Amino acid sequence: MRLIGNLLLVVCLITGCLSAATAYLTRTSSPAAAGLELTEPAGAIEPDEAAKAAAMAAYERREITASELVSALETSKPLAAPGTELGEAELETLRASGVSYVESKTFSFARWPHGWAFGLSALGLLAGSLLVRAGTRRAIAAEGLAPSRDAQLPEAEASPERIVETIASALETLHREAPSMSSDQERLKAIITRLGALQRDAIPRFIESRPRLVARLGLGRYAEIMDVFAAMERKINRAWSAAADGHLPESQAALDDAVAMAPGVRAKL
Amino acid sequence: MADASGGGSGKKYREVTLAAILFGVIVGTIMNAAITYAGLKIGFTIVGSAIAAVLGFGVLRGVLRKGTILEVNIGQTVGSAVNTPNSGVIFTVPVLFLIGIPLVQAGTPNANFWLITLACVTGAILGGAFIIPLRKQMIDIERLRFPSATAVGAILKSPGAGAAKSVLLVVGIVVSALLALPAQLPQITSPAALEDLDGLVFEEKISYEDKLRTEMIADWIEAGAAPEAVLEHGAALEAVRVARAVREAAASPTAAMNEAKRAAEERLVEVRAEAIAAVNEGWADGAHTISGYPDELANRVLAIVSGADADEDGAADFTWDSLRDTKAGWAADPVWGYADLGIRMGRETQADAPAVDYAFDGLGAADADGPDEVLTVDVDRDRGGRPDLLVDNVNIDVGRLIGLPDEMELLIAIAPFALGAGYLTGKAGLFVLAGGVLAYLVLNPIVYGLGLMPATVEAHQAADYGFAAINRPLGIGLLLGGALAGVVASFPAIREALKSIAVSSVAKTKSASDELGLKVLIAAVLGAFLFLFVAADFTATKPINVNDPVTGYPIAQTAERIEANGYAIAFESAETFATWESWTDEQREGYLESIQADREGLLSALGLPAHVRALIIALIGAGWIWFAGIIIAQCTGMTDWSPISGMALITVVLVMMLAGVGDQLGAIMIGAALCVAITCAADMMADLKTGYIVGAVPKRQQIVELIATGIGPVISMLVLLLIAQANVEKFGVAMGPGTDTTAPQAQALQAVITGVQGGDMPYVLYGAGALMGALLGIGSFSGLGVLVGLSMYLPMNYIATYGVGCVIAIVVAKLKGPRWAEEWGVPLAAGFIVGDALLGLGVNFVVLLQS
Repeated sequence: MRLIGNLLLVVCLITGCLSAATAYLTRTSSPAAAGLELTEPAGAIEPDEAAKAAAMAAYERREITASELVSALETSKPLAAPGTELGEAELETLRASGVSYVESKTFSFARWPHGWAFGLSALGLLAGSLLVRAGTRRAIAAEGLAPSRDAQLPEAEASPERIVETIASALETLHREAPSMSSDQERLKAIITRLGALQRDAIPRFIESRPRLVARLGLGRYAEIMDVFAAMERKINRAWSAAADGHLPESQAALDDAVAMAPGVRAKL
Repeated sequence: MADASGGGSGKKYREVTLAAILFGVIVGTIMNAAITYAGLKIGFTIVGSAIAAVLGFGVLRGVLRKGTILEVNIGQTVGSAVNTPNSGVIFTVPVLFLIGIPLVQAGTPNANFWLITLACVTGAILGGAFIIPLRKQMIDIERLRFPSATAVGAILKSPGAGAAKSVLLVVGIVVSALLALPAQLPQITSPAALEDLDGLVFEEKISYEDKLRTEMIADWIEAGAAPEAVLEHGAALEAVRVARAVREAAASPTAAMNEAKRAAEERLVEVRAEAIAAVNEGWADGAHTISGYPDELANRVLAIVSGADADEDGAADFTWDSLRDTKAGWAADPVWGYADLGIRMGRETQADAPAVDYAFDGLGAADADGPDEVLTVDVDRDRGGRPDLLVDNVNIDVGRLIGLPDEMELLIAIAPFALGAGYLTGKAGLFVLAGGVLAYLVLNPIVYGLGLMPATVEAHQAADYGFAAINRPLGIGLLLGGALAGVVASFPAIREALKSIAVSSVAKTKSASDELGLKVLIAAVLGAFLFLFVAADFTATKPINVNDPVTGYPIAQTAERIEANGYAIAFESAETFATWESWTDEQREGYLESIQADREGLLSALGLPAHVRALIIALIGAGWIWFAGIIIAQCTGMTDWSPISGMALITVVLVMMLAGVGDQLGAIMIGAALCVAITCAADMMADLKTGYIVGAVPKRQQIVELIATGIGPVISMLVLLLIAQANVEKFGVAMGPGTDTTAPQAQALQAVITGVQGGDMPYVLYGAGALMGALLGIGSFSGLGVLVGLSMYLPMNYIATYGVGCVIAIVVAKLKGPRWAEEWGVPLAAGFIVGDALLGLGVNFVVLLQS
């Protein structure tokens, strides 16, 4: 379902953009084209012999360079310049030259050649988005979200509850063992090493569990959980930074705060 | 690992210190002033957090030997807060100079100047204050990446991260600087040697006209003389300067002063044309004529001949040798860059082409590439006679390298910062790449192939045309719609975040003290709204015309005023007002049309009085600033790109629709407030992300940033004023073409204003894009519309480099695991961002010194 939804999104985005790009175009065959003021040039004609001869003469007089000569000999000029108000004569000339569309600055739904395509594309985008949304929900549900099922998952796929438990245990263990370490240097090293490990592994894994938590609990409850988790994480980061700076009291104070917040995170989950 | 710089037991852990704040203010001020000038001159701006962090390390930790990680964080917070507003200011305020709205009267800043400055200060504070409540939602809950902020976090944490990662960071900085060096160095130029001129023309570094002009100046230097017509040109420039100075100095300029100024300016136009004609007639060998030369050349020639000694040191200000200067029109020889590698397309001769002499060195004469032949447009798009470069100083033309059709443009910018930012963004950045691919490799080629572009657009021009006419407007729309959908989708998270802040405001817990209370935020928002109302009210009742409708001279003091189509029109005297009254309706309509006052704004059309209109504009303006701040913060958070110009464009369009297309001052003022607000909002959020990574207390960062951010706009405005006054003295014009400070971004905004006034804005494309963006945001990823819109809005070359970075991140994560990719990749990527920024700052500093 998600694959179909995504394909629909891609196709409809392309067709939507293409049809939107024609919003200011009017078919030259349309009666509504008469009286329009052009914002972009329409049609193109190659330089005539007189213009080429004039360019060549200017080059020979050294009034223009060879580059400018080559450009002058090749660059086509518009049949109708911007600002031209299209009368019947101008329109006839454009049609005869095979010009199918002209661009003006005024918009009209009636003149929009591919407005219907845009409408269809918009509907397609809506359908595609809803399909992707439904498919995502179904996929998450199919992964199994009940905590009892999560308990059977291998460590790498541990449930959010188990990850939080891992973090809380690590904090509490560090908090318990730090006073009995032999020196301040050892305490600082332990804080940096163990908290660094949490920052590299467990915390990112908890963050990656967002889709499952949102699908299970809703965005509001997820936000509540992340509010307290983030506060705890910030204390962990502060404890790490203070330890890296060699300031043990600040580091321990932040660690104490993080430990105190851990039960709150557990409770929210 | 750990060092004792934190103070150890007994000493408070250093975080918000005087040293950090002073450091931040000093560094921020210097960066702000330098970048304001650089931005006006060459369009260069940078976000200063990474540089401030690196400098903070050096100064606070290295020199003062005290700085903790959190103290350096405060230093970079303050530094970036002071620096950031400059990009908002230089994008908008110079437009006032370009459209002739004065900010100075009789040599002193006028009310407009102080109003705009106040608008920018308000915007800076408002931007920060508005975004603060969303900190929890964006950083704690949504976990937006903020790649540059993450890079700054990696820099700050490097002391404790281990030697290996610090080395990796430094390696990243060095590699980035080395990669960027040949791309940036060519900005540094020196006057070309005469014997090198032919080579420089051949290398397409200068034009043939540059060569001729240089040879002409060399002849003058050798002869110790210049044509009389050039002296007259210099004299005419001086006359204009004097007339303008007399008028500017007078508190109430007289009609005679105005007439003298106008006559001098008209005479200058004539004399300039005569001088160029005389120079071309006198050309020795009848070679190709030149189309002009800088006014500075004429100024110097006059100074040399008259022996001017302005500083009265006994030595003439200029000698003939001083004409050997790029500012005087001498050809500039750039330093070596990637273009000098000479990696070009293969030669392909065009059949049936006329014989041409590209270098005017004899028909058929060969050059290093081969004989003088016309090449096909496939290999020589600029028709310069040489195959085009595949690698120039900015881009690698991968599309042409692999043989893509001309209408499919695939350029990759040589931009290490984009590579680093892409790596840090990771998988989410692929949506940005996808949007770029959609725009440049799918949309543009199809539109071109179906004949929906003008027939005069060649295949290789399709990308540029499509970018301006289709991709950008659709992209802006997608951004807006996608952001709206994202905000709606995030309502539960936003609600929880606001509830949490509200509870924290009441609770006295320790974690509650981490957040800036709602009362402070409400006060800031109310104060800012009040200012916006006052400003909108002031501009709503202020006359929109600078010059008297009858005489055409600038109005020193308003004697009479009327209201027409919701605009106030001023008259300098009762006499001119009487003349106006005697005009026919047609004459009056003609005048109103000339100053864009012929169409009233939406609010005026509803018959609302001026004060009510101002109130509505202030309300909508404040709401729009809030919304635009969210968009910018989200874009920066997801990708590191911030579509400031797009938001400024929409602001100007919005205010002009509400207040009327004639109210340029009001539109630019609110545009300036918005631009500063959104840049500060993004900066605030990025700094808070860095703070989060290192464990800073958000409230402390928020307070220092809100205070410091108000300094930035004042510095930028004062620098702008100094530059404008210097330009008036030197060039007779405050800003823009004809001066050293062309203000490219402001010129772009001026083009938008002209477009709005002319009714040329593609509103339907914005609307269609917005609808598509909103629909994309309904899916499982609410930010999809924003990302796709952003990539369509930005040029492809930087998106491509950024996309390469994203792909590298994905591949590394696949091969070595996501933890390894994060742990070892982040310091290297951070180094890439920092190295590019440092080099850019250094090179541009040299360029500024040269100028």
